[in-house]
Amino acid sequence: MRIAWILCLSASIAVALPRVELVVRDSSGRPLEEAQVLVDKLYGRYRTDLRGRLVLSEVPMGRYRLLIRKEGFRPKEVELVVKGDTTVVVLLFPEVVVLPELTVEQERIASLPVAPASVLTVGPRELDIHRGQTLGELIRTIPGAGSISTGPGIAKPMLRGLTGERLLVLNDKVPIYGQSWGEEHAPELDPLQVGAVEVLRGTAAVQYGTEALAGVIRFIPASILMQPGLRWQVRLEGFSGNRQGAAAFWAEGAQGRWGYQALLSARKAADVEAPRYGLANTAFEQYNATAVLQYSPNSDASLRGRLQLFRGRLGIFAGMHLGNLSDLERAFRAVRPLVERPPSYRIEPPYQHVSHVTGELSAKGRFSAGGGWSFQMSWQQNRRQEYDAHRFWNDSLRYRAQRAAYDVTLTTWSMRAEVERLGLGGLMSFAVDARRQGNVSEGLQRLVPNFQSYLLGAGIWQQWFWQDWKALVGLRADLVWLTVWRSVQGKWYGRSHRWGGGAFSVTLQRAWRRGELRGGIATGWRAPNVLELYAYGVHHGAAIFEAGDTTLRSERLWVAEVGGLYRGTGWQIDATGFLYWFPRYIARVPTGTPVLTIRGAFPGFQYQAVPAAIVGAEMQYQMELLPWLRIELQSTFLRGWRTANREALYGIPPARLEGRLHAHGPAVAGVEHVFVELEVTAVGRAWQTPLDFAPPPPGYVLLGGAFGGETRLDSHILSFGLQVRNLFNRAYRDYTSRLRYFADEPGRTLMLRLGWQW
Amino acid sequence: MRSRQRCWSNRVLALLLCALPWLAGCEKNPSQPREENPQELITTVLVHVWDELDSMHTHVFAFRDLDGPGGNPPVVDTIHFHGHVQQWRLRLDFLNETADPTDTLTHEIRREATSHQIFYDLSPELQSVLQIERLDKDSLGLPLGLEARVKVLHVEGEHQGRLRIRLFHYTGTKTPQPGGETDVDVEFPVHVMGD
Repeated sequence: MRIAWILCLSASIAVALPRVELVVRDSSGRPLEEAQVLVDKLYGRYRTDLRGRLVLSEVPMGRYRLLIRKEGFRPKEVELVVKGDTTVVVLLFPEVVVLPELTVEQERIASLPVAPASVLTVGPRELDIHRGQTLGELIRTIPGAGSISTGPGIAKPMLRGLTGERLLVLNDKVPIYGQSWGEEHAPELDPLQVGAVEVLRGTAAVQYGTEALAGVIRFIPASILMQPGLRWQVRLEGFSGNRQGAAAFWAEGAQGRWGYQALLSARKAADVEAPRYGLANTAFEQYNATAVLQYSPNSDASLRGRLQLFRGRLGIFAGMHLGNLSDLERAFRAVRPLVERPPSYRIEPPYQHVSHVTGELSAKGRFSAGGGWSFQMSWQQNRRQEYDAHRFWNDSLRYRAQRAAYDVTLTTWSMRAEVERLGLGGLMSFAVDARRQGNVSEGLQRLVPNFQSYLLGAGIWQQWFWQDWKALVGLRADLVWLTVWRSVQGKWYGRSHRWGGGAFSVTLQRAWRRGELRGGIATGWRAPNVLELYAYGVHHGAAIFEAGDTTLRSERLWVAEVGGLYRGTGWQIDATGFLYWFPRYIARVPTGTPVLTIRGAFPGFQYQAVPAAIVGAEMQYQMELLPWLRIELQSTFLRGWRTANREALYGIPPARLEGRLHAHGPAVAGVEHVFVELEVTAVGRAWQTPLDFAPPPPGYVLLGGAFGGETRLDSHILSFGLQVRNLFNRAYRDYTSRLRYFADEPGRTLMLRLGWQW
Repeated sequence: MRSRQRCWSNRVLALLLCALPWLAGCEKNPSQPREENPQELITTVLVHVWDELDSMHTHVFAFRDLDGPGGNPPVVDTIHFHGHVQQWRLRLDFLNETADPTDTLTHEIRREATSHQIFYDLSPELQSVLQIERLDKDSLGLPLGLEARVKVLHVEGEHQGRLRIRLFHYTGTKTPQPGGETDVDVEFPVHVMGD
């Protein structure tokens, strides 16, 4: 049994294997943080923490070779024999020649299960370099990941062209249950609250059920260190493009077995500037507060409570407000947006007002006989009020201008229990999920009817390790009950639905000293959402008349994926190819019959389950040109079509290529971790789809860059970063932005980041 | 010290347990009927037509969609003009007939004349037969269009075509061109009878 595989999988799961604690110090005994530790045949690279410590749990007995590197110190190779819990202290001695910094910041070690997709992680340092103003920007350095946006402040994460209810977005380990049905509804979480990101590409339906049909994106907050004392951190950000300011204040400490953490963040932005004009009413503001309390009776078990509040007011670009199809066509033809105003922090209708409260209680522990368990329970309430720009005709109805057009309150209870045991010659995992969700609509319009739904699911998956081979097989079943209440001609009706289905996954991996090959197939399903079942009316944002179908069957997906990794001397390439086959893909399909209204004729669309396919390839390449200089390339290619008529699927992003040249230098005048980065982004043209009102925008090339470092004053760490996007202020439109119909994307943006921790 | 810490932890756990029923109380009941909002719609466009010299005999033609977008298709009358009259007068009314009593929205449009404008567009087959001139203006001297004059240019034979009536609401400065948001966009079949 090869050590590497076990180590890969046991990064965050609990099994009764020895624990290895590594402490890295300099010759004077001072702990060395951020030292890089490579374990023989392990893909990922570890870093020591602030105390120079690294803990590897669940390490099988055997012989290892560790390589420890730290800038300014001579690298050291250590051979380690693990027979039980082991603590190793490694001393590094100063090196005259400065060693290169780490080249890989996206670690392949992940706490998400691997099947059959690959898991990629964006670590804190990488995140800080590319951290933008939305969650979507946090994941853009991962091939296949992106976002669909509605203006500068609203971005919804997307994986391989799929988003919404097909994609599970986790806030640590709790799903974010907002109104995911709308393209203009972003997850309720400030990027400043995120410490790292894990992305599981491909389906994770066996592990997480119907909500993870297209994968999982996990936004991980900084964990509580459980160290005595009090630690503080302040972060400040400024963005030139929309005169945005953001601030976050973070405090953490511990007393005995109790640890606590508090985080406050706020963000306020004015209208964003495109190269040729301003985008009226794109100002926004949002506020976050999080409090975490953790009780850890020992190092293996913990009980944690978390309360998180989010409140935001987000302006919707005024030029997007449409009365009918003629307005839309007029907006397409216009050279400039139909509505303009001087840049302002004022937020006027149309805008969204969103509040989200999350209460979480979680616990985890280990069995004495081996294995571990975890339990999470959460309560979330999401209230979304959307104020329309529409004004009122009648004096008697003027009071209603103060009321939201859409006012929906979604309340969700969710529970997940997971158990992992060594058994059947490998590692066996079992998870149970339960969810209760209720929605109440109270706005002037009832686009989403009232509903209550229940979900119950259970999955079991087993991983085997045999020499250089690893195999994973998983099974799952889910049941969904839904009852919808709505008013039909003044009478209140209720109607119930029930769906059930299974998921299945098989993965096989083979590793060599310099690489790996992996492949697998999986299937999963999801129940149609309420909008797909009950929509009936004009969608003014898109100028279409859409109708749901209450007889819709569930969506089914089959995934086949192959991938490989090869590590050369100073370079590494990782490539993946995949095919998604949907026997039933729920999509809006044109009926061909316009619907005549008093506001004109609107093209008719109906939700239908149609056969469809998505094919794609992703590649990531890294190379160390010099000890202080590396190049990174990543590309994504996607195509999606309805198999019945070969028509392109709406919303599949175009091909994308990104290149980065990253240089890092030695400490200069007390400033450490100095780096300079140049970035090129090239985006192709998307396929034309008949469902679209405007042809896809032409491709574009953007240049950007970043520069930063940090300095220490006693126990204080000051960090700074300066980033520029769209360096040459190029006017362009992006296919995955809803702004593309009406206006250009934001122009040159300078971002300044300052951090102070002590 | 140890007992004090335990006491504190027990209090925190008790607080967490007490929070659960409180959270449940925050939830609204989806099965409970919610108050219906009175619909704020334009359901009906009335076209009043009369001989410019004889205002006593007015003909009324309607575009009526009482159940709003979707559902039953709108009911649309055909507007008839007799060729023996050279000049007709035309006046529009915009109504919400789902309200009780019926809401007349025309006064509101007239009151906010500086941000409204109505356009009349004839289909090509009628452009040499009829000519429409808007008569009323807003305080800035720009046309409003609630009232209009229809001249019959060609009185021989019968003619069929369509008349498109559009009501625009301007969010910024009103211009002579269509702009802003479309509030009404309807088409009436038109029949011009020969003299």
